[in-house]
Amino acid sequence: MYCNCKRFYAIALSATTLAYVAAVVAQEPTTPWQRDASPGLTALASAAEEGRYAFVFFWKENDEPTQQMRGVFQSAMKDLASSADAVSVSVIDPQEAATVKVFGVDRAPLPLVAAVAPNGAVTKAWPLKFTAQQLSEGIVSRGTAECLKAMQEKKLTLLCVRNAGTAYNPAASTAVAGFRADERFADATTVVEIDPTDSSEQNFLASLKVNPKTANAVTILLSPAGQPIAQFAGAITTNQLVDKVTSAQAGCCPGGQCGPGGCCPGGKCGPTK
Amino acid sequence: MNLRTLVWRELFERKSQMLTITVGILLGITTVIAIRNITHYSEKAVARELDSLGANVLILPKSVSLQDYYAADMHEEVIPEEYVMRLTMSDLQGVDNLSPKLCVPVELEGRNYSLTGILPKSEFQAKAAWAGAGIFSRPIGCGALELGDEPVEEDKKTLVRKRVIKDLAANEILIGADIAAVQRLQEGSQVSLLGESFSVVAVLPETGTVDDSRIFAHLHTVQRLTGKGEVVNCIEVVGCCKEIATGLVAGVNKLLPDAKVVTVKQVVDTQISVNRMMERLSQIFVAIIIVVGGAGIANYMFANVSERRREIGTLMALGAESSLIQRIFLAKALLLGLVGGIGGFVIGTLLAVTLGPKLAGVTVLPMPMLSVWAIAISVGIALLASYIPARRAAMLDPVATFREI
Repeated sequence: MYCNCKRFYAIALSATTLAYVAAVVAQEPTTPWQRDASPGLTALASAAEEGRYAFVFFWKENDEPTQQMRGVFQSAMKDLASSADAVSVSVIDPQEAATVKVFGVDRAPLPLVAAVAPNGAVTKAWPLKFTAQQLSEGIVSRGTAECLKAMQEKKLTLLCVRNAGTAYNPAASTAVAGFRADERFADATTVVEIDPTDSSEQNFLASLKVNPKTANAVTILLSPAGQPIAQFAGAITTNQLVDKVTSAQAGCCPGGQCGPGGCCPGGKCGPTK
Repeated sequence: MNLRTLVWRELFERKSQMLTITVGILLGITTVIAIRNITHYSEKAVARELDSLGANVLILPKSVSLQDYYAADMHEEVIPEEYVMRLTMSDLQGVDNLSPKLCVPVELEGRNYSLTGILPKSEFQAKAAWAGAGIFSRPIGCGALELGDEPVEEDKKTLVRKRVIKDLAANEILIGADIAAVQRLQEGSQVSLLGESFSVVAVLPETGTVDDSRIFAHLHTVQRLTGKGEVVNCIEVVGCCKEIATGLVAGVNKLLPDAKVVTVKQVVDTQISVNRMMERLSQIFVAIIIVVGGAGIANYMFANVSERRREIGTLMALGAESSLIQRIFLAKALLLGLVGGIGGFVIGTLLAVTLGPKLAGVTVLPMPMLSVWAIAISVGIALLASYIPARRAAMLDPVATFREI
């Protein structure tokens, strides 16, 4: 009997430990950065793990413009210290080769500051000259950061603006699920959900011209270039979404090209090949 | 002795004068044909350029003139490549499709071509999202939607139309139609350029422009092989008309104050004005041919008739009718006109085909229709200028001419 109790406690203890470890592992913040590849990426990974922004100051020569902008950067980072870490990366430092490669800034105008969200999205970059006020604009809402991340991965974004109070939520959900199930778009699509009443998302919603007091669920298709393709309020279907995307893919003036009389002169596009 | 023999003898009566007149007509016609031929193909190239590029924008070094660029876009002046990222990361609308270029001369199998370094879109596209959240407030663009991981392989031949290519490896090249034809190259061929081996991934369709004689390679490869550094000769911005109309040029000017920003429409307008000038020049040449050539022929014919009064009188005394005498001189003029017209067309066409690509940067082909024009002008002038002297010869009194002996 005693032995059984001991075994029971041992099993219970082991199970509890395993459950704790599993819970810790599950809750451990993930990072989009390869931690030990370079000092810069290590700093970025640490910031991401703590849910903080990282402002990366890329520079090449310690000349006067760089020193001047470094001063502005350091001053701004003091104000943003509660939510962001400062990282300095010399693009000619061999140790930072991995950071330079990841950001592709070997031929960028320098100095350059990139604001990086915890999810890995570059939310804004300022080449050559910037002010402390401008740097503060790099901290954006979760929804904005997720949409920017999708853009940087060249993905289509389905932005669902809804909460428990909006109508047509099930219809919107079904349409979005159907769209994602379509093999033509599944791998190239990211779904981002935001609550219209979330105060942190108000600027983002305003830029998309979405009323935060909307009574209906709003679904927005954002192109990989960041431009809205279509906006639906209320009930939608998968076919509507697919139609919008396919018509945009076959749209006028592929690649943004236009003829002398404007986009698609006479309403007719030229041959695409 | 028939009319043909008489005309033939008459032709060679005063060889040096006849030769001078013929060469005069020939040179005039040659010049006009060459100008008209080059202008025609230059205008066609401009029209094609305008159709394919629309109201796009060119970013050039300050000191480069539009004519320099349009002629060959090969110049020594450069701008930093970092301008590409400045544009990409800016909040300007309409700079999604950029095409930076660096052109250098290159020799292949003893012939000179333009090696053009281009930067594929994949190298800078993602940076557009670095412009920040403001990007979402942009209106729906006029470009078609391009999904990032479309499985369809890119047709690189669309470079000539779109001006932008998505991907290009460091050892890959695209070649113009003329080079492919001359060098007998095709997709998969290996080419050695500047000491490095390249694989031809596409032969571009014929455009009739300088692109037909270009070899396109990755910009960074061209920079490395030529030691030019991180620079480009120009950046083409393939933007939407409405964005250009709403201040894109002003925005780019503000962003890149050390560069010259022009729309392709401006370039085309410049070229059109050059073409108009050439057209006017050819009209002036036509006028000169009519006045000088006509006066020369008339003078030659008058002198000829005057010197040969006795022979004409003898012919008439032997029974030749006035109409025969008139026909002799008109047939002579016709022959001179034909030689000048045909010769002028042939030499003018040869000059246009040879010099056209060098002078105007366009491929020039022979225009058979111009032969009709050349012969009509040349023969017309010769006949008109010879009519009065021929009439005077026909009206001669044989008795009066014998009295002069």
